[in-house]
Amino acid sequence: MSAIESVRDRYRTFDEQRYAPLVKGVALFGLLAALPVIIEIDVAGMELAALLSLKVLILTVIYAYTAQSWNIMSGYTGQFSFGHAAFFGIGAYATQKLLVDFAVNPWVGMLVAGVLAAGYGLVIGALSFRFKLQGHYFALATLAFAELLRFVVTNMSELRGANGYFKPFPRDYGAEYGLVAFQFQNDLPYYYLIVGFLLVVTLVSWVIKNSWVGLYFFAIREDERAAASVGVPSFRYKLIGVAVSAFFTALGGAYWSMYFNTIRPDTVFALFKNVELLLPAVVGGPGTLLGPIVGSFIVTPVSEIARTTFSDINGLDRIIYGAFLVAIVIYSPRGVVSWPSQARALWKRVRGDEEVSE
Amino acid sequence: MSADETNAPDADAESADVPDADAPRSDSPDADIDRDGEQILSVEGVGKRFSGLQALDDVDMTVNRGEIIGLIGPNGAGKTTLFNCISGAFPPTSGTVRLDGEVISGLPAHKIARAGLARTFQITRPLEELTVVENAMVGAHIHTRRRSEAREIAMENLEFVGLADKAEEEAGELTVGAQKRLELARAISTRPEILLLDEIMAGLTPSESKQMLDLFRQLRERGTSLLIIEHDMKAIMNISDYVKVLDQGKGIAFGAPETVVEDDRVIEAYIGGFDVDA
Repeated sequence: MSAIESVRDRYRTFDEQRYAPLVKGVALFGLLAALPVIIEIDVAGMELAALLSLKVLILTVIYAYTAQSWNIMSGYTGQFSFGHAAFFGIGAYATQKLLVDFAVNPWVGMLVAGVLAAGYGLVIGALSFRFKLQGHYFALATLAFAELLRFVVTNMSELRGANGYFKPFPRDYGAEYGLVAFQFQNDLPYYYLIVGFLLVVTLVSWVIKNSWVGLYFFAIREDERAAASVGVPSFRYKLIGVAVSAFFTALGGAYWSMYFNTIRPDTVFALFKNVELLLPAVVGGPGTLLGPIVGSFIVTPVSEIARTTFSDINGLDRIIYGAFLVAIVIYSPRGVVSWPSQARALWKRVRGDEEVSE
Repeated sequence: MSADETNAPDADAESADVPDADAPRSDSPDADIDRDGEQILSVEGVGKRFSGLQALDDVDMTVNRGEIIGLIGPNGAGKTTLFNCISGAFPPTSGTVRLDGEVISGLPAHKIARAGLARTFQITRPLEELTVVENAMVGAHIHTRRRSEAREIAMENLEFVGLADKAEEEAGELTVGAQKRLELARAISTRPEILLLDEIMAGLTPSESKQMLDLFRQLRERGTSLLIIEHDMKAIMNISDYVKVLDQGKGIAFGAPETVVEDDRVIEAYIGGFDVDA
């Protein structure tokens, strides 16, 4: 037995244990927690931080978080949303509106925003699913609902139109810098906060995946008619998927509005925001737990580095996003996380052929 | 309509072309058919119209508990359309379908499944990226929200159809024969009172078909009623208690297999069609 095989067998025995998901989760989030330290390690006279700053890390985890949220709806139930910027923008705007105009604590505002976004998701879902919009048509409908919000917000003086909101100081809503205020004076707490967000949404995803709800979601994704024939109420479960996904995406928008100083319709509701929110999940592997996280660590740093390094080439990051999207859809629709098992299958085939020829 | 009325004797049944609500339909069971068991499914005057095409026209039939009923007819006779009307894939344009006396026509498919009627599809519809056991678990979740219980029910039924050893494989990777058995396992995981099987034996090898017939008999012994569409005449004549014949959307005969094959209208519908030595 080769060394590779014995390692593989040991991994398989580990994987069958009940505690395996826990161990994997702790390892993954331990690594994420250690990243700010790791990037400052000096490798051959060059710090990794020169390439991968804490800011880029935060952005990466934000998109891992939003992709994980998108995944609950689009990866699990298969209803491909191209309009998650709607929920993201609602999250950002509702939180800031409540904060600036009513001095509502951002944590409370964030939850209100989540509920609002879930409501908007239910409206989009109920209309689309009632009229049996599927595939491209559904994706276009969600995009239309997102763009609709961008136009409405841009033209609403109550939401400060195109100017958007500027995040107030903590003292303006009776708080001091820290967790309660949702504001910190340096980036490190922000990083751990978004890792915490990612942990929560990943746990929720894991619970869904391991319950009947997840199985119903997958059944709907695979074949709605077959699912209905064995008692899956697809309309209701698709709505559940949309609502949960919209809720968590809005929380991401709220975080965004607290981490960055300003929000405007053409940032949080931007047409391109829709792509940024879904791409990590598509690249990493839609429908998987690890995919959105892995995908974001591939997509976001590369595009950020390209954007800052070649800052004179306007829109290079978007070209890179586009290239990723095209490449992954054509060559590996199951995403990067499917590569190990595909490699194993290939390896098996090659070895199988050898055995035959021997 | 009660079972008694459906089974009412009418010597001239064949010529009753004029619609008459009280008179038994043209294809009512013969007077000498004495069917046991309570009525599970009753199809009453069901019609289905697709923009200009009358796919089903005033079809009646009943299925009692523990019966195996064959549904036959030439291509395009409306067999699958009838299945779709009964199982809620789409509603009939006229008529009523009752399950255990409750009207189910017009209900969505998932509610009909929950009421106790399961079906398989002519072209198999495995949930491809799910494993074999997960496919069956989707059906089992009708009864429980607990995954462990659903898994137990699913495994029992995979064992029953002989797929237990493939439980962890992806459903999309199965051979056609195995996919057919998976369709059956998924459907019976809902523990239906009545099972509609749409050409589940098509594409099976002779030995697989034989096993399938054996499964049908076992299901019947458990009290599950079966309504079967099949093109293999030998198999259907062999297994069915009664046979219902459709032609051009209309029911043209109902009765024991050996009587039906001698029916003039059936022979006409099938001209040069089949010979039966069952």
